[in-house]
Amino acid sequence: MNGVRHEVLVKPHWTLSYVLRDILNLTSVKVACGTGDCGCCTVIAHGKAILSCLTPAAKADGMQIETIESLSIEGRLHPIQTKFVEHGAVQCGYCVPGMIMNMKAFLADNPNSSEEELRRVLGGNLCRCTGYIKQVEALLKARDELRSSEGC
Amino acid sequence: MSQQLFRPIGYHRPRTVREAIVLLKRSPRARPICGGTDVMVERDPKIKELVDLGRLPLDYIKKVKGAVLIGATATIRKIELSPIFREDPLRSLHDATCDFGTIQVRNMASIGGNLCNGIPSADMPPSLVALEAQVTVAGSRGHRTFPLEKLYRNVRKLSIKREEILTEIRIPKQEPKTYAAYVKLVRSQVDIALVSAAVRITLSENGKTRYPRIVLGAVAPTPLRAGEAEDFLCGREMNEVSIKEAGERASRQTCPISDVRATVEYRKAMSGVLVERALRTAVKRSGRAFG
Repeated sequence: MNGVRHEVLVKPHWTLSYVLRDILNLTSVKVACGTGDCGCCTVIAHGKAILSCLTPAAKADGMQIETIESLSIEGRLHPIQTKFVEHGAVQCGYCVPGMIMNMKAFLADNPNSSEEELRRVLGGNLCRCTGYIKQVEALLKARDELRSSEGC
Repeated sequence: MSQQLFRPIGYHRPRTVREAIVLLKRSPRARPICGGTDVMVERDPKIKELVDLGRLPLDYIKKVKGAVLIGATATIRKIELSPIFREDPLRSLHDATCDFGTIQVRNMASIGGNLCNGIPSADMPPSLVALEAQVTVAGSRGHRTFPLEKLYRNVRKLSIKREEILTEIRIPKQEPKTYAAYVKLVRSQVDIALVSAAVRITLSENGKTRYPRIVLGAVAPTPLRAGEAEDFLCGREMNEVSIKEAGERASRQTCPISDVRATVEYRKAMSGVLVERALRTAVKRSGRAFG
């Protein structure tokens, strides 16, 4: 979990989202729909964005998982986070952790993504506040910055 | 409606197919799970044991003598990114995966799970049936291989035993000059298909169609072969007239239901439209101009 090894005793019916939020206190992970439709619960497992609300806790055994708590390094925000702030892409904030983790994983593998592709991937995160415009703006700027700095 | 909760009491992660079958057979309330994108949404209270197939060595995609073998636990995303399905004749597989749910769902969902859920609107079956795909199923008595079409009896009712596992999908080598496409009608990324259509055509030198297959999803309890439309196209040239006629014949064969997403009438009408669109795409892929 974010680079730290944890041992958790889980029940067969638990989900990864329950373990992350309620046991490991990583409350950036939100559960909204609980049915895999909204993307709020998105975390990164082995570099891929997955839905923690549909992942059985037991299935996460051995997984390397990142949540947004790990994204800023020693107080320095990730470019996606910085751009989200600069471009006013956060309103209530509920969709944001899942959205940033989804897009972080995608941009890490697709630094040269087109806007069209990026928008399609963003379809995995529902936002009821913003209308997505500022988020797309922020993500395109973050993509450009990540591309030029070669870092992620 | 059941008021009971989803409360499995066991979670197993076998490393071999044999182990998985033993676990499934041992408990009548055991069910397989892989990506979890169907099982964890349904949360069926009848399930007592979950047998996670994710550790089985079945996540491969490989070409063997012109045929393509896909392991049942390969994710939809893996198939989406595979170069094998970005070229004719298998591009309909890419079509089926690139609009499959959201990217997170594609990262998790397995092709085997999509085939075995038995839902009429499932995205993977139509294009695979159109390509004459076969599936291998393993059980306590060994394994057997048969056409994917034969897997489906009814909605959520498969022709295999509860303790059997689908292990591999085999897409046979296609004839040269074969083109395939898949289209679906859907309201958003997180919705299921209202209607879907997969086609496969082979074009001979003189422009006549051979081995046409037209398979419709979400308009019958199982993937539906539009046999009359296929027969009509056989030996004919592909043009706007023949494509429209094929669409109409396919539409006549459907038996959709009315539900929250669409009415019978709309599904019937759109099935014809989708068949036309899929056929046009297939012809476009052949590079042939047509009128």
